[in-house]
Amino acid sequence: MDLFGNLAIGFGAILTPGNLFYCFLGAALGTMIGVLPGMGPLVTIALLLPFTFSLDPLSALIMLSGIFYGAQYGGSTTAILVNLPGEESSIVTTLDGHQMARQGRAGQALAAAAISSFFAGCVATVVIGLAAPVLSQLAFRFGPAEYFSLMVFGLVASVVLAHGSLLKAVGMVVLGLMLGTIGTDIQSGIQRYTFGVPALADGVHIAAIAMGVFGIGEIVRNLTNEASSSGQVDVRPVERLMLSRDDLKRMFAPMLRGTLLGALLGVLPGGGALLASFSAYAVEKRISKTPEKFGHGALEGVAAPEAANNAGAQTSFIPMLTLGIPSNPVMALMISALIVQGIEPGPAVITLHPTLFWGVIASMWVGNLMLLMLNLPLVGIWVSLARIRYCYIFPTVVIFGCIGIYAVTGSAVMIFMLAAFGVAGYLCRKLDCEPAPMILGFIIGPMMEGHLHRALIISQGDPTIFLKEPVSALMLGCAASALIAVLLPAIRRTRDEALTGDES
Amino acid sequence: MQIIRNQKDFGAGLMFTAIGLGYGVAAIGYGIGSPERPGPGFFPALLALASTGLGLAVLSKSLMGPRARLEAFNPRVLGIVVASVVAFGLIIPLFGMIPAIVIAVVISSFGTRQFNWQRRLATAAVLAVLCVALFVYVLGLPVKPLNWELM
Repeated sequence: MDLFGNLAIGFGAILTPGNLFYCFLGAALGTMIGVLPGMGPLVTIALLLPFTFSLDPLSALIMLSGIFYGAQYGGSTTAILVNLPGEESSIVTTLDGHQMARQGRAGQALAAAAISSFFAGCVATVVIGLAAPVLSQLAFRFGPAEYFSLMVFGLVASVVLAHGSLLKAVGMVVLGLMLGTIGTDIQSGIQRYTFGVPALADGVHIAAIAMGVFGIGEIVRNLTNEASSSGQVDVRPVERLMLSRDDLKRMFAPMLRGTLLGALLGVLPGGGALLASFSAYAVEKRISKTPEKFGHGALEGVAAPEAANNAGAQTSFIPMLTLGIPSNPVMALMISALIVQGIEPGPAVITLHPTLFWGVIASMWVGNLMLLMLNLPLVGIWVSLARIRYCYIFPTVVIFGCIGIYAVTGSAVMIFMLAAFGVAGYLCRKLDCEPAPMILGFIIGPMMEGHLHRALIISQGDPTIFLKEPVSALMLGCAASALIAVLLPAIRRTRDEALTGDES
Repeated sequence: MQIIRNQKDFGAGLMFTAIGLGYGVAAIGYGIGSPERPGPGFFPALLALASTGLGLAVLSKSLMGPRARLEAFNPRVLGIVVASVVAFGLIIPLFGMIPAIVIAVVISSFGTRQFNWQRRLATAAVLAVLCVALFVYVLGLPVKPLNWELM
């Protein structure tokens, strides 16, 4: 329970030239893709995942997480200066941030966004450091029944907080679980759903699914919308980056509230940065004495959501690091990075691999500091990246994705799978089936099957074990009530409102 | 087709049902076992039940409620991007990285109107040089830039 001792282990692990380099690389790459039009952290991490397998686990995780939270910073830069949210979670920042830029206060908006993000990052690091060990301790007592029910709850919660039809979202989770069973069954050793293709014996590679469904999906969507977008970006000039004492005083409380809200929502499965930034904005607008200023360049409307999305991005690591359960597709990719490195995600990571665990947490603080220094003084460079035309970006994404998958699987079959998932992802979107829950199902599937089998063997085939174990019953109860709650019309309406965001 | 009110739900329901049934048949073949001794088909059989059930629910929902039409498909862009990926997969094991990149970039460049032939080839050349330098020489990936034996 000694936070400082533990963080010292972490800082000791990350303050080596190599790890600092990967931290910097991740933060810089994250900022870059946050700024680049039409690229998100999910696809970038999927793209780079195969190349991290040769790194040691800590370096790989440091770099991948740097990309994730770095993208939150970069996304807000273009949101403010160009009115283009580089990331989904920066959409709300465009509302007031770009208005500020139009009034000639671009520098203040950028500074407010960066300082709020940094503050939130520091707080979130401490929150993770305090909460994670407690949660691991708790999870250590979990048996297979508890784990199975926890996974059910996690999947249900991620679906409840996703937008769109509930039934179809659950369906996509089930499809993901099915994809997870492809390959050699660990218990019996027989090959399932491989159709005799040897390259499928180890299962479908997650990079092929994520790149296919999200990467190709993004490219096709961007190219189809090409005609409607002008291609020319109108960048607002940045004059002064300094905030007045009065500005700082005005943004402090919103920043603090945004951080707390974000940190809380980030832990929830399916929550994360997007929900956090929308809710933080809505809260600030509601409690503000001058709500009419929102949407017309209110500093609070930049500080709160920016703090919230960064805090949310970071605390979404908590369930991943302590329980081995991904709260969003990016965390699912992180888990697969751990698995490939031979580390079984779960509560044992903190005791078996303390340098990895605390190193990642310490790297978040270091990375946030690097981002603050990378973003504010160098804002001109990043903005010029936003002018890169998309026609040069998408072939690069396609090529990098193919090379990575080919290099790591050594077979062209997985490249064809990538193409097939591209088509499947396109069809699913046409049918209004959001593919994000599928990735969570795919990662959780094999673990869930293992826990189900063990629980049933222990109980000698009695399925009521999931209701007899109190913790397990509690989880299933939570899952059931979450589902019922969403189906109730009144709550359903507020959920739809909260998830589409208050854009008035 | 007046009876189908929501075409998107109808399509999604059909997809979940069909996948559930096909997946379930295979699960029976793997051996379901019993709850005391679950076999390799046990978990898949549960998933098949869930998928089929959800599919039927979505199907029945598509016959009620507000109408929604399926948007028109635009297979051209998708076809081009997928074709460039497939071409890459076909070429790289036979001829190596450089021809795979050049051909994949040229194919994918037809997805946008912003390319003429000069730009197209220049982009392909730059990417090929960049990728070989980065992946083969810096990262040392076991991929050949050019496969001479077959050429």
